[in-house]
Amino acid sequence: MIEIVISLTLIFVAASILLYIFNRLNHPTIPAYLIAGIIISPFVKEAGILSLAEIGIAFLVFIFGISLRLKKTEKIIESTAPETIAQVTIIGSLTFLYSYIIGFGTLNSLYLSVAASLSSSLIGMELIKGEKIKLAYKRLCNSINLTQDIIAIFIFLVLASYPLTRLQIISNVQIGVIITIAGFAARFLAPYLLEFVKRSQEASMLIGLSVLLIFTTTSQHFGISIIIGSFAAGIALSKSPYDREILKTFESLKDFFSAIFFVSLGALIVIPGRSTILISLGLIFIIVIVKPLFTMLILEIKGYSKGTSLMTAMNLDQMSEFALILAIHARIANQIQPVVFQAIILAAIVTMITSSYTSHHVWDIYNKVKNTWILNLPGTEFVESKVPEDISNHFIIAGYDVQGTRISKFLKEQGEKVIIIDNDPERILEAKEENMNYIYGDLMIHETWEESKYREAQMIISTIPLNNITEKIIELKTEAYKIVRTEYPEEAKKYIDDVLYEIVPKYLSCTRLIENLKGSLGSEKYRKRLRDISRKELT
Amino acid sequence: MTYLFLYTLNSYINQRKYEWKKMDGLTPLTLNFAILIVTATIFVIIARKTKQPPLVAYIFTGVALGPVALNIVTETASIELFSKLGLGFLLFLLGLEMKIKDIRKILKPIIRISILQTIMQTALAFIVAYLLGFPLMHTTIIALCTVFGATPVIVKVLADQNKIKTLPGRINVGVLIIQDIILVIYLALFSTGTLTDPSIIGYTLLRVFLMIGLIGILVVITSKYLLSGLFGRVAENKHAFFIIGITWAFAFITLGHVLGVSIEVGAFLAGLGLGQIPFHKELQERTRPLTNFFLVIFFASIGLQLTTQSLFAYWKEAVITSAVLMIGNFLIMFYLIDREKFTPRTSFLGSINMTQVSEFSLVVGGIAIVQGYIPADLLGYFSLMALITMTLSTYLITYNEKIYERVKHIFERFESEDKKDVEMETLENHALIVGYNETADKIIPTLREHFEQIGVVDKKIKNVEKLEEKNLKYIFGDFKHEEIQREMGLREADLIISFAKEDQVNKEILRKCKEKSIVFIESESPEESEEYYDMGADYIIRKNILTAEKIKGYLENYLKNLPKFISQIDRDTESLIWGSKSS
Repeated sequence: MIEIVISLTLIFVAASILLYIFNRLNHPTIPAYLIAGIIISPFVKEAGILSLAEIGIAFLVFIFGISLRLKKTEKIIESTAPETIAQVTIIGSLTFLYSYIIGFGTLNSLYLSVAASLSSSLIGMELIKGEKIKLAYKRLCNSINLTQDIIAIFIFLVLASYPLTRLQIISNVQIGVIITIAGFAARFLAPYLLEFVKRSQEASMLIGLSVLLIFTTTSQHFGISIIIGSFAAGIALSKSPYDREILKTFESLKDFFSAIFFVSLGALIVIPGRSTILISLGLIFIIVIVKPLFTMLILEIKGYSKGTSLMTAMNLDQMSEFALILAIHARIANQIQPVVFQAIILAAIVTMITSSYTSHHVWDIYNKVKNTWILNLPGTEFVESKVPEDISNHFIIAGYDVQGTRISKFLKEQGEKVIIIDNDPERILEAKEENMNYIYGDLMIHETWEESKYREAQMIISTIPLNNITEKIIELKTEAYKIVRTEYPEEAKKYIDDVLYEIVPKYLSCTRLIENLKGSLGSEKYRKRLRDISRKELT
Repeated sequence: MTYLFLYTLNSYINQRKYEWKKMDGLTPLTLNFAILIVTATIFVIIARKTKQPPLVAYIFTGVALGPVALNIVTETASIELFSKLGLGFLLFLLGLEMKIKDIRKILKPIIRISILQTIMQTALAFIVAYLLGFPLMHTTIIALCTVFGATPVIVKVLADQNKIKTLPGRINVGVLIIQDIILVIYLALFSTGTLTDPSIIGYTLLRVFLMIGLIGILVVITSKYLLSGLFGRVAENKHAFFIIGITWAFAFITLGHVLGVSIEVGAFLAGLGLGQIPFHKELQERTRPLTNFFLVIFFASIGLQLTTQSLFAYWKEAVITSAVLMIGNFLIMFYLIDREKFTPRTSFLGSINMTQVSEFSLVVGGIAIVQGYIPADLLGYFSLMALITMTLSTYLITYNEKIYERVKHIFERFESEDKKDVEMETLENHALIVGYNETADKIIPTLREHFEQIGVVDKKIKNVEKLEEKNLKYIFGDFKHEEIQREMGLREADLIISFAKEDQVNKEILRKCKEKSIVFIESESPEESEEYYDMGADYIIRKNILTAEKIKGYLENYLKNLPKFISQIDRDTESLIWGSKSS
């Protein structure tokens, strides 16, 4: 027994070291684990570890199932379903055709095409997390990722049937659907059970585990993948507000076991031969170059701005963790050749690392390719703006959120000329309704600024606390006064000499807050009045 | 040194001999495991409905499914692994909970208590066993085996009730840790194969202390120079933070094993090292669910290990010994704690918690059987005793305060002027800030005018140093964790200001705060704000609106009264750069 504890120690030590390095470099987690696995592979011979890793897969899918807020999910998926399906189909069939022509046979080609077409939501989310404000592309990425994950579950339903004959597939899909329906049915029962043990973290954890184990053993019993069982179990517990309690307790378990899973997955890699490298290079090419191109094309056709499309594409250019799970299943069931399996893992590591690079340097990439055909694809000329020809001495408001709206309205009331710039279509619609002048475009793109006639403006006010936007505004050569927004007071010093004024909300909102606080502590009357007034302000 | 190494290796191989279980698949996704968990769940639900402690439910899960009753679940490799990790992680968690500066105040009495207690309880167990007619050799082993309190039971039940940090809780934990060290020495002694050669005994003692000292030094050095920086740099990434914490535990578990001082002591020292850095609370709350998961398996596997035939071989003796030891241990502990001039209440609670025979008796007993000191069926005697005393004492610990209220009058005679408890600080009627930022910083002086105590919870790494220096109660961690809410006195606070910007946190605050407390919450979303008002929030801080209003005022001056505008922005800019308090 102690050998396994020692193996686990080795796994965690290697994982921690790489996690630490990757964290310092701002790279995502999963490739750190996979590389840790490769490093320790000569030392860990324990076949048992991989079977321990199985529960890591179960937890990953289980948590995914729990966190699906069904109503919300429906809405989110609806908003990009056509785009996502188009993208997955195009990339999937391209990869399939290519590998089939090279001679990989149906099964291998099928797995390769899944690996190429799906992107990782875990990594996508990790890359976005650093940015605090709401941006259009975040919504887009979130929605595409979610849709892809649902597609992945469907693929599991079909592909994780062994042997892969038509009869087997049909029977497995039937069982899978029944189990999923059982999950939905259990969704109505689970709250009663959880209500029973309210406020006990331990008991609700046990109930969660029981549900998970009942569903996974059932699906094992019927010979289908535990992934379907775990997903159904997650659905069963996804009813709010219990889902949050369960998520809170399972987060640690998931982190622990999924780390073991990813590291032991990496440990399966041996020194790659020539064919492994060639296949993975092909995969990498498709994921890093071809996929973003098509993503951008599809999004631009749908009318998203260049910047938004590019940022979204650069967030989706990696392999999905679901593809890894599928690959290991296929490998164990001998459905794919070892070279193909190895190539998939290798390509996963590489693309997961490059994708963090591309999304951190998205604007450098933009500047490099802005004049090439890549960003000027035919049929994507979609620019909408309303700027009077002869405007001058005007105010430019960057960002039309709470602050932008209020300031613009105020200036307009004062009889001033205002142009709004935003890259969120929804906010542009709002500006349209308010009869404002507006530009739908990206603040990082110089053409947007040209359009705003910034040289003739009297003042540029940015309400967006992003450093690269602030820097872009400082770069603009104009007589106009510049007011920018900074999130943290300690960062304010950096730009203070280049602009007229920096809006620091944390600082500005303080005075009023302290007044309200003193008043509330002083008298109950004040407190009630404050509550009524500020509540009214909401509507 | 080489000899030392060989010796350690030898004892390691010796220990391996007793690991009789085969290593089959490690996957827990089996029917076997599913039955175990589902049964435990059912038992726990029943236990909650009938107000029984969950621990009893787990042990009986094992008993019901194991050889004693249904015999349908076998102890597989995964169960064995998880139960081993359960014990390790429990002690890791325990270490995390200890602040050395808090223990220091009561360190001396604890050492005195635990040494005297070990001697007196061994004597008591010896006399009981001797009177029951066991031969001398058996009596000696029995006495040595039954002296320990069951660390997992006591720690788990106390932690479940949030009593670990009370004074009796700390006394118990201190005594248990010293007992664990004594246990390690016993284990090492039994594995040597001779109990008669004083030079080998002396050598073993020396070796164990040396190794513990070695780990101790490592812990001190790393916690002083390495850990704060290491965890500080990754604390923002919740996942990496947790995994590195776990790794720390694993590293010391392995180290403890390799140096022959047991997994438990290694894990405890690892936790102790991490317990001294500002991030310990967050790590603790992240590790707890994992530990709870492993512990369910650990306690169930105690039940699984029992077999019927040997269980009842000495049942009369076991019942008698259990009764005598429970009462005797209580009296001995009470006498010893009372002797250290703590109040009768502390003495009572501290001693009623420690009345059971530990499951370690099974481990030590198992080794003694293999070495041929005692016959195999004595294990049933140990098992039955552990089962009886652990189950009963779980109730005693759970209801210790109620029991004390009932029998208070008897113990009040021990009251005297010079007996007093060491003070433990708590928060009450305080102001609580959730999420620290510049705004919070600016309002703290105002709060100080109105409140004696101020608590701050924050999970941003850049604020750690600043907050540690301020004269207030500060915890680094996520306010989602119930344990942290309790420690910061969410239910006792008079004023709560949340800058957390997390819907879940804000709703929990509104749900759990006392009715009269004033709650300010920052939120930028109108929908959320509406909900918070409905739930009873007093004021929603909307920074963007407050800021927009201010900027509107400035722009009005820009258009109509330029000099005033210039003086306004100059004043702001200046105070931004110099950080002056005028605004």
